[in-house]
Amino acid sequence: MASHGIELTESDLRMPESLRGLGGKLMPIGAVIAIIGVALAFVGADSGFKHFQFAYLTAYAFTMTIVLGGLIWLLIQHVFRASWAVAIRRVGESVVGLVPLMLVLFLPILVPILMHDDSMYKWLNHSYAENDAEFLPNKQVVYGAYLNPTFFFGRLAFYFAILIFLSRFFTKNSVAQDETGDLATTRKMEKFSAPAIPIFALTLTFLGLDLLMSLDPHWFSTIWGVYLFAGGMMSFCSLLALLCMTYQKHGALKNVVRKDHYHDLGKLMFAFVIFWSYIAFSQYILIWYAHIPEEITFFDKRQNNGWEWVSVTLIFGHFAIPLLGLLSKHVKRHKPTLAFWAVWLLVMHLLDMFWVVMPNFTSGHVPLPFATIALAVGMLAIVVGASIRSASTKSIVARRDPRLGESMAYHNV
Amino acid sequence: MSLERVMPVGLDNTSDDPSGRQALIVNNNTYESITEKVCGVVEDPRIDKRWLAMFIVALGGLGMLFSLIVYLIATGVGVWGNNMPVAWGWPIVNFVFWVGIGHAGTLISAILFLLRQDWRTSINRFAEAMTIFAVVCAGTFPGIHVGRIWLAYWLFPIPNQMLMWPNFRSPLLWDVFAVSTYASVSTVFWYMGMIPDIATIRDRAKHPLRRLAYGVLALGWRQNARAWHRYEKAYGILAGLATPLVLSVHTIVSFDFAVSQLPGWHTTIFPPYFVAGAIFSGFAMVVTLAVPARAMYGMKDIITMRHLENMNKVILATGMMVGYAYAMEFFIAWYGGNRYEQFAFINRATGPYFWAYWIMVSCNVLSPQVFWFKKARTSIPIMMVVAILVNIGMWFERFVITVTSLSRDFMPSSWGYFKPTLVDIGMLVGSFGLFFTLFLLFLRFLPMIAMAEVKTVMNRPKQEESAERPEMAASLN
Repeated sequence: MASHGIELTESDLRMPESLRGLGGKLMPIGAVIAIIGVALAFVGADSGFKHFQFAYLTAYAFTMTIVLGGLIWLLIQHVFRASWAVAIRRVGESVVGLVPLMLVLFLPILVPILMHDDSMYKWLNHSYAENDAEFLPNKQVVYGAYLNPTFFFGRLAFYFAILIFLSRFFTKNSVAQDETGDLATTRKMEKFSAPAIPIFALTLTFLGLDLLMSLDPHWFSTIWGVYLFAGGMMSFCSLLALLCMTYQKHGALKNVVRKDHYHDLGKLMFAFVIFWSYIAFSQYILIWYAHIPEEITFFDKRQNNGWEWVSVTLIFGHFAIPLLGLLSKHVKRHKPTLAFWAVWLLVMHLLDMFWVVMPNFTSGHVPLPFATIALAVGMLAIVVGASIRSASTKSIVARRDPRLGESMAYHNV
Repeated sequence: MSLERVMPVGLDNTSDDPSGRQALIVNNNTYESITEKVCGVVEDPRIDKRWLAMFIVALGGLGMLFSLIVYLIATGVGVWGNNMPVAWGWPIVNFVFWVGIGHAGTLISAILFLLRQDWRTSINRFAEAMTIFAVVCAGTFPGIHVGRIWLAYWLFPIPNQMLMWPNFRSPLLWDVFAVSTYASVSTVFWYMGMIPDIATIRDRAKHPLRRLAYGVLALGWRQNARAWHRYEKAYGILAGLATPLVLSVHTIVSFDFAVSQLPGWHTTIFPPYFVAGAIFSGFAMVVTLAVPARAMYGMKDIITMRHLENMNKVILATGMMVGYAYAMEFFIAWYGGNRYEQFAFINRATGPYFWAYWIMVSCNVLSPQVFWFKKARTSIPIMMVVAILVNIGMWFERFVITVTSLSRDFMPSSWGYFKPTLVDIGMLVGSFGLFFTLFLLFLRFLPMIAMAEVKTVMNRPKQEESAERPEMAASLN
């Protein structure tokens, strides 16, 4: 098959007006919902700025892991020279390209910290380290060399610089190929994707360590980076499936995206449901079984004072139920059922992040989740809206990718 | 199923040109020539001298292993270097080493199948065979490690009059289940995949005894459409079932260490890190075996340079994962501020076993880095050197984990230095004898390439393809 021979009509390549409008609407709607979330943080028993900070961090971790899940998904497509996803790659790239937006959305977390607020990251305060001197003498050097404000901000700047560079490189080159049709661009992306993966892996690991693991400065887990990767990949594939359905609902990608693409996305969702569970279980059983004080605190918090119900919900909602739900081929090839599970998994990913972050806020009870939910939904709506807007300015299919033909014609069953 | 392999090439199919897919089988092979080539190895009445020489050496190793096992049983486990504080010595190291080797086969035939990686077809058969033989070697070691070997059946929870049960909370018992499940599923998977090819050999057999033997093994296979339909279904289901097993076995093996509280053993990344390491060592072993086998039997056009290059990429990727785990362990030991954990890692790198640690790091993390370069990935001498280094490095990884942590634990008064005995060394060498004996027998008597599967990824005439999928032909013009 000569890939150059594929003729897609103009309507296949351009985003329909209605979808573009939806993208434009979603951003202000998302902003309003997020503002409601901010307001909710100041209502009720746990009200206060600290509640807002933790709720916002939960929402941010939820959205950021999805965007970064997209980035690693994209890198994997290139490194494998995969053809199946070429037809939906542009839709995915529109999310991946939003890393700069995620930097803007990071400001509400960053600004208070810059102003010496230590309510989230206790180690930002010198006295915290001093209190540790007696029972964790060897940790002092860690506070001195690693967990300190200056290095922390330096690292954050470094992470974002790397992530923005990676996301720009792969989205820009892909768009550039629309004009040139240059095969060298494909080679360039393939070649760079290989070293980009370990760079990304280290960045994600240390970003996750700094933003989430260090919320409890005494706790540690070597599997943490893999845990975040697993949840992020699962959620990104869910979001990508939903986005493709939204595109198609508005008449876009009609002749491009087929059941086989949804089937493959569903398989990835299924695979990463299992992979997340495997990683979560590995972390749990090893810490539970050894039961040493410096590690068990993490699960101790999450198995008491109502948090046990959140943990149990995760076991069923993030593992057992979707495992059975996504098993069938028909579920994955049928849009409404796949959409149901995609939404389900996104909800579970949010719950997972809630379970990760929030016990550091109130370990004594489970706070009302409404502020977190509103912030997360708002933030996700902003991200989806922005991704649609950014996609509207270019071809919505990587139209001159040499493997588009394969992607449009492969069969899955 | 990928659409087509358009680039006609000579023997070199390693081009990275993205405008088409490279042919996986080169040198103008036809369905017939594949059958002739693969069956020819099994049907040749002469005995290849090189094969015979290797077989005699391997048998010698096997004989040594059996004699040493007899000596061990007659004398007791004191013939090994195992002693307090290093109660787990080489037998466990060898066990984990061989189980790890036994991961590539099922990964190739199950996970790469689910990922639609067509290139697996040329290498899956003998990788699977290698897997099973490695598991046989692995299973030997815990079996003879129990001390009173006549009670080895106590490993299994068999109801008995003494009301004695194994400890279900022990990961060692989970290992019994994990490894035996893996061994049985991968054997079924391997055998089932081989049935059509065995039937081909049966149909070509001239001698009645031969026809009978392969006929029994072929289970009455007739190459009809209904049988193929069911075969494909069963293959897909088995691949789905085998996929979690690829992860579970080495996960459970890692639990043997990680559920403890011993510094250097107890860390949460152990399960995926062990799995990555297992795949890493398994692929290194596949390369180590494939390179000489393809040269000896003239299979360079079936197991092409592209296959080897892909495997080298897998070695690079999994080597990086293992490197990531080493780095995370070290970093978190420091970050956590736990002095015992910190000591364990500094002791690994600078203590009495520093040489083992640095052999491990240089073989496993540094040596595969040459595979960033295509020249190295496609050079036979370089890939052989790296693959063998990785095999060595992965053995040392298990040695480092097992021995360094045990030899210096919490109480300095009980520290010690482990030294292997000649029996230890003889058994490790002998286990290679067992492995190669089985593998050489396999090469001689069973089809080492999955002929039926390879034929599905070969170039077909253009018209045939278009006629099969008219809608595709229309959409592409």
